[in-house]
Amino acid sequence: MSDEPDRTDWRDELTRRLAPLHLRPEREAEIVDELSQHLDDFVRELVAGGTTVEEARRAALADLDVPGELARRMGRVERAMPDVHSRTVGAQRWWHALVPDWSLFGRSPTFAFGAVLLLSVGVGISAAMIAVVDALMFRPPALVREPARLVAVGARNYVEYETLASTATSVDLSAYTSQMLRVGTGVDAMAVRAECITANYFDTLGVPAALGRTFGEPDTRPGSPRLVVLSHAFWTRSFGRDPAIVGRSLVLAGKTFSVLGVAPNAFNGAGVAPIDVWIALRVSPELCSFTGTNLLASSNGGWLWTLGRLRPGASIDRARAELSTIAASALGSADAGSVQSLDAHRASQRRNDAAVGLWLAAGAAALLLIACANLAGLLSIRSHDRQRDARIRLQLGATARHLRIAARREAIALLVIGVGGAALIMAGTWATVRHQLRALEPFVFTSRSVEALFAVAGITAVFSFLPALVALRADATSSLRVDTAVARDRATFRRVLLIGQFALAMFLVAGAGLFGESVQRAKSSLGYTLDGVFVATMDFQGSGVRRVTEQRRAFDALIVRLTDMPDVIVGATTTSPLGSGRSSIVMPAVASRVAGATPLERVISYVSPGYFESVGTLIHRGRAFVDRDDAAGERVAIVDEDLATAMWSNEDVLGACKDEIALGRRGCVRIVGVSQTRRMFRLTKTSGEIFFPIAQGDDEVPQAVFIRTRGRTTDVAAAIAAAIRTVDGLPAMTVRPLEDFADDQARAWITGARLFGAYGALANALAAIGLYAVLALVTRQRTPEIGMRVALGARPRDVVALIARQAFVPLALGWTIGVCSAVIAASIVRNQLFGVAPADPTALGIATITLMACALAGVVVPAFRASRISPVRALRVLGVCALCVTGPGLMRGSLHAQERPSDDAGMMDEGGIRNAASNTVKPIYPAEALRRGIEGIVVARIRAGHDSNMERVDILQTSDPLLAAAATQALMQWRFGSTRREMALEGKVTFYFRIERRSGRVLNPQEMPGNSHVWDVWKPASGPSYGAPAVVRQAGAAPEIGETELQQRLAAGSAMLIDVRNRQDFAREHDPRATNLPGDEIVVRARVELPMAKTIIVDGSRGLPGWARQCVKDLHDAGFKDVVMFVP
Amino acid sequence: MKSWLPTRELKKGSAELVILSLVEDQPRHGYDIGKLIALRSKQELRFNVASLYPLLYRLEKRGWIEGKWTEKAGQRRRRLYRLTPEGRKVLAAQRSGWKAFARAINRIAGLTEG
Repeated sequence: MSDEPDRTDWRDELTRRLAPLHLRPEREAEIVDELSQHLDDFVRELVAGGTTVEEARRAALADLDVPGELARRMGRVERAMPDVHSRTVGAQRWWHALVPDWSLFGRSPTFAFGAVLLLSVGVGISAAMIAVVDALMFRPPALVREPARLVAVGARNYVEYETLASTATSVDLSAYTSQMLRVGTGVDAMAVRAECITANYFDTLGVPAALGRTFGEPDTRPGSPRLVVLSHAFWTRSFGRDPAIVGRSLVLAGKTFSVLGVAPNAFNGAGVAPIDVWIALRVSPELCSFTGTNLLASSNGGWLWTLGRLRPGASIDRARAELSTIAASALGSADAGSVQSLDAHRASQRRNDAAVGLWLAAGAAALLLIACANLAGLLSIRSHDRQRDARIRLQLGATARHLRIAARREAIALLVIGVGGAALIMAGTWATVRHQLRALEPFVFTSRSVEALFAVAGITAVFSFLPALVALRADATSSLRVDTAVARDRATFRRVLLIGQFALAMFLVAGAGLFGESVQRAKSSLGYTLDGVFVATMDFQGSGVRRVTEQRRAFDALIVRLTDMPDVIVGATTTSPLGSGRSSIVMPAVASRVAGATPLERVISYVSPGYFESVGTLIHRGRAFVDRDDAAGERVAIVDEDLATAMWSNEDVLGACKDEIALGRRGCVRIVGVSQTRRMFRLTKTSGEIFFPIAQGDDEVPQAVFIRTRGRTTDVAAAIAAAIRTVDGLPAMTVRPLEDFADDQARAWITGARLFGAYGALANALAAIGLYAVLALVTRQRTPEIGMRVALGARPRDVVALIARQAFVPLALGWTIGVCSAVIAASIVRNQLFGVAPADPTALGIATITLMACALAGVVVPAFRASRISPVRALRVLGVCALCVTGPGLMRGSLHAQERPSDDAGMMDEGGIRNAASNTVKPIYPAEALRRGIEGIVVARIRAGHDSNMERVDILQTSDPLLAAAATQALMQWRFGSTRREMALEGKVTFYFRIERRSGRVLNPQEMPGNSHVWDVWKPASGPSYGAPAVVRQAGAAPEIGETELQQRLAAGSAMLIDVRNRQDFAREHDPRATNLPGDEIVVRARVELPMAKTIIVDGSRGLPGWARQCVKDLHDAGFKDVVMFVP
Repeated sequence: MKSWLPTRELKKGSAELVILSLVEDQPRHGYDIGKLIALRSKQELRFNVASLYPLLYRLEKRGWIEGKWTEKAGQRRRRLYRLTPEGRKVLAAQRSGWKAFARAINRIAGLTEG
């Protein structure tokens, strides 16, 4: 074909026409290709016949379609038909169903971002907490080779260790202990945690040095040069990862060490606390003990941890048997030979951190539960919201499967974004927690943390998305019917959702409040405060031996110097801060007088007068020490409340002089004060404390000086350090915030309190937001109803009040359920509650107020907004009317054609329906319609089920949706007796809405003619008001004529007799002179078919008299002046 | 140009028969089919793009005909439709059905029986 015209690119034309179908790109390309070929052929043929190319193209396009036709026809095939043939297409679709549908974020941004927020926060925090607990409790020590082969051995001092290590054949032993040491000299000194280890420590753990080397056997012999291995973190922090660090010297506690090597990153030994340096135990035993006594030779006390690696082939049972035998024979007690797995040992060591981790995990679980519940609520409501959308799409040829896929794709989009957000929140949460729990390593996405994230996300997805998807499935598979049963279901669903949501929120928020308060109380009852308090501690290890008197003089000078500083309170104590470390003087010798009670640990401290105030411990009764409590004064003491109760339970000890606490001296000691019980070792257990004035002690030297700053805390440490420097004769001292000394347990609790407080607040916020969102969505669903009520004349205020009233009962029910379950749950775990009753009014009250406020806002705000929108818009735009059931007049046609019930056996005429009804309600004339002067007709098909309720109402014909709404609302309240029927009733009911423009008599509904079944609804004389009874004009009295007059008039030809009954009745029997014009057609037909000039005689002798009278009126209204009724 | 068929339903029912018959003996592409319909019906029946192709796709989805792309150098690829075994059965059924229907109509309408 030489004259073949150039190929035309039809792609744009075709793509544009196919665009509405949203076909898959591959499919669209195929169709475009094929149609292009067709058009090309067409053009070629025309051109061959002599047409110009241009014209031919135009003709081709003209032939292509009338506007929209291609898309319409193609759509029927391409969308509706399930694939029966092509497996590849099916596969693509399957894949297609998993592609996220991002458009959700554009279509419903509020919903989408709300859902993503809930997902991210709930999943992120929970996953972080799970990872934290995992890291704290289940992860073996970092970098250790074959941790499962490691065991913890019971030997707790060097003698025991040595005995076992030299004999054991099944296990290689090494030992370690940790100690705080000062690095550097003078005021630049800082405290580091050192681990004193035996030679084979690193070998036992199987960890090589990252730089240099670790200890070998010769390095640890007594008298060898002092060597130190740095932790990677310490090397980084203090030496900037100097690669030339090996061989350099480091002053530790006044002794010079040379750096032997650097441990690998993240290696932290076998223990729990972070370690900065490792030194050889046998080279520097004096640095590894407080007392300076010969540690290595002492077989007393437990200060060492023994670690073992099972030799190849040895089992833990064999090691246990061997070591306990050795211990029993060589040491006299099998205890030192006890063997447990390192995991178990570590778990017991980190009991405190783990407890906090569990707490936080529980809090996070609650948070997740709230998030899940809210998400499920949101999604369920949304899927309910989508019912109408779903129906329309089903009408357009979508299958239920399409709908499920669409919903799934939306869910996947939400999940993808949500899990992304969750990963960020997880990392952030980890960082926050790590700030508090120092044992944690920096966050990295390991396979374990990713597992945790996806596990939590999976759980969330199942619990929140599944209900919605199931609901959608039910919606999609249930027929297109929109009947009252569905409306009733929906109302029930709303109510149940509301109750459940509120109960759950109440339960969780109240629970969080209880625990939060419990933790806060625990914190406040620690007995000391940590904020703004600094401690200067003496550095024992490097101090050398000085004369006690000298030291005391120096300390006195220091205290004076510090007291001179502005805004500080200074106190000193002979025990180390907060009882940490080994300087506490524990005196178990003070026996408890309470029979059977466990003897309390007694901590005895000598303190200066400012001590209590500086550390924040309250004196509950009596007084603190004062300056006159000196060596010359009466011997006095302060005891804490627990000790007072334990020792002298039935006695007021204040002012009493007691021998028991004389500590071996003669005479008694007068108790001048009772101090707040402090919790230093265990929160649930106190250590009874006795305080004496430092001036009355025997050569007691302060170990710590507390400085509470009232002003700003910055620079205080430096100022304190400067003050220390000016005092001669002081041992080396380190200044640190008191918090550093807080016992692990106390710190764990404080951490818990802080984090739990934060999560509690977050949980509250989530629950509140979720509650608001759910309530708001539920209320918004009622927008059409609200709009209709306003259209009917309700004031916005009334509607809001009504909605709020309706919400109150479910909310109250939810509240009750929530509070009861919270109290019950709290009673079950009451042991964990610290000083808070399960029914703590504060926690419950706060939760109630918060949630009620949110709930109220969630009801009132959307209700108010709904009441402000135009009623017509409410009805039309939203399309669904909560009460109209069927979209008013808009959805006639095919939708109803399929639904029309087939059992016509129960069909009744209008009068029959009216008579069958036991209760009828007249429509209220919609205020909006009145205002706009809308009149019209509403024909409804109603169906009453086997019980007395109206089953469904379909609007068959209407002139205005407002009228349809009013009619439907009224019809919904019709009842049909209480007996069960064999057969459903069905029939048509017609309402005429006309505004009375003449003066009409206003009737009560009760006055209405009982059996009139066509109603006029009239404008009430008093103007529209919501809830006013329907006002019905009486079907008036028409002039009546008898048979004679009838005959005369008909004979004269000046009149026409009409029979107003329905056609069936007319066909059965009628006056031969009469013409049939069914009453419900009068409005439409009368003006056209009846002669205006003649007298219209309505046959009142047949059918219901009220019906005939009504028709007379209708004819009057239609403009017929001369209407009479024939009554024989 | 106007269709002689009285109703759309009738046309739709017959269109399937027409198309199936056209691809019975040899595979044809869409334009070919459309043109043959017009030719053989002496322009009484006409399909445009918007009516022909959806019909073809529908038949294809039902598995009565099968489309295959064929490529020729320098031309657009074409899609050739052939009758499937299932389509052959349907065609036979539709032929006899149509025959019976036409006979009935003719008899009722008083037209001479062919």
